[in-house]
Amino acid sequence: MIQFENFQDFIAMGGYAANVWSVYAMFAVFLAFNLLWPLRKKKQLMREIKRRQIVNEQAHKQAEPETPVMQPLEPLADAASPAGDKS
Amino acid sequence: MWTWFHKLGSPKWFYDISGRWLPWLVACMAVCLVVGVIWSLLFVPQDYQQGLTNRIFYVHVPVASISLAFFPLMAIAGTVSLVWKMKLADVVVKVAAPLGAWFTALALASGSIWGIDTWGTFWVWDARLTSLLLQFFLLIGMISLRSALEDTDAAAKACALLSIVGTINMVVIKYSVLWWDVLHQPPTNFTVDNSQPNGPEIWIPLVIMFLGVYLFFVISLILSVRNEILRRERRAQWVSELAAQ
Amino acid sequence: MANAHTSTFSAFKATLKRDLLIAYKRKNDVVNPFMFFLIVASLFPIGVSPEPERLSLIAAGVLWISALLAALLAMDNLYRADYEDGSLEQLLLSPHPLFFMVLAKNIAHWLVSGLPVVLVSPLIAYMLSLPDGSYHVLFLSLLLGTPVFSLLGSIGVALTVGLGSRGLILAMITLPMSVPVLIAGTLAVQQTQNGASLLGFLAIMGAMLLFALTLAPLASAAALRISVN
Repeated sequence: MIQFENFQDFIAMGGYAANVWSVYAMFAVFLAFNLLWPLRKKKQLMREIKRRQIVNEQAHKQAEPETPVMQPLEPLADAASPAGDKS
Repeated sequence: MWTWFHKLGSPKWFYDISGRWLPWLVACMAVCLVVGVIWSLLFVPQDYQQGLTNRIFYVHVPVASISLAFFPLMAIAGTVSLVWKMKLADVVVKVAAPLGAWFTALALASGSIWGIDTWGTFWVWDARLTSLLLQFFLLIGMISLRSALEDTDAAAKACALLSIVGTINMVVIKYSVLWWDVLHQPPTNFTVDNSQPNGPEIWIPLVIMFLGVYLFFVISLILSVRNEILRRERRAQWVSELAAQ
Repeated sequence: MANAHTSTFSAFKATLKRDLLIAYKRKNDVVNPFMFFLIVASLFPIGVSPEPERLSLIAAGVLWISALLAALLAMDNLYRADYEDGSLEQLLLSPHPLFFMVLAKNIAHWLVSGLPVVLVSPLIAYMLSLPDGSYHVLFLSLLLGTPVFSLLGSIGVALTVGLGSRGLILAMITLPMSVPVLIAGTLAVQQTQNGASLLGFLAIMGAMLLFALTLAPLASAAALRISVN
């Protein structure tokens, strides 16, 4: 059974509007924040991982013609900076 | 049995399986919360003493009861991470602390707002509120310890140890605060537990809210655990494949 | 020096003696927490009210909180210097169970920082006009309670010893954990004023002390092994 006669009564909450609605508002913020924040963070993480991949791939491409096996580390450091500027 | 245990320890396996479960969990949670909120706001009869403030209970009770579960959860995960060096357990210890702080903060806030009309003031040094407050402080201490220790291996061990010590301590704190409260409070003529048995129209929506908030707790824990797994395994092959998609 | 034949007990004694000797040589470490206790306790009459009636109500609580803060201030002495000069690593390498070495260090720490506070507490209590019948209760409860502060604080220090900014984290960890002792101690004073029996409170505080004595050094030892590697 609905406990309220009209919408005004529902909003007024029998005089306890401030208390009841503030708790439910906090609950909503709490739910939304704790669900959306991890999702946002996941997007950021994925973007970061992807960027790093691109950087690594470019580094390998530049490295291949000159030094195929011996020194993969040095050209990687060189190639990292222009890619970092681009993004 | 042990293969199952080892599987659970593998971050990739957890990431895959939780990814499959998440949509179902989210759907169940949404249904429970929508039904629970509408029912508790619109249909629950007034309490004969508290009037419509009893609606606050439908948020406060589930949130507060789950916030009490965080220390035991972290202690179990901490023990597993210390004894079996399971990576996933440490991830749980790490992400449970901030989530627990959120839950505890909401439980404190909703409890004290409920108190505005019941006690006439938003804060009294009631046993349950006080021990929740102390739990909040301890959780903040755990978060700051984690963020201060850069080395993840040492941080994992230290936080696991602190979660075990903290759980033992929380038990002692709870009982001592209860004892303190009993000896300090003058007997009040208002009692929360009324003699009338609560009918199903009171407790069914509460059970639904409980389910919804529990599912929310599980979902947000899983989401944070997944993120932390991605962060820690970012150099692994499967993560790069995932990112490349 | 420590050969295979030294018993654990003599190693325990040697650690205790060493820490006491260091404290004796570095008098600042002993005097500062004690002075801090006096200063904090004397701020309350200034901050709250100098009226004896009001002070007598809060005297026990003021003494307990001052003792807790003084213990917290002294906590850093427990392992910090040893960590910096490397003797903590030596301690971890010793063949004796770390439990007893940690216990010895905690006892030495309490003797240096806790005991003076307990001994001077009746005087401060008088200055805060504690009711007449409560002096022995306060003294005995502090005697049982302050070692627990040292034992619990030791866990926090052991966890944070390697950190740069550890003061606040240490407080965040240690202060909530000390609440049960604070509750028992202040309740003992207040309730015996109302005619409750002292023995029950002393039994509870004694139980807390024994509990802390058996478990806290274990946790401290584990924490030290984690922090120092």
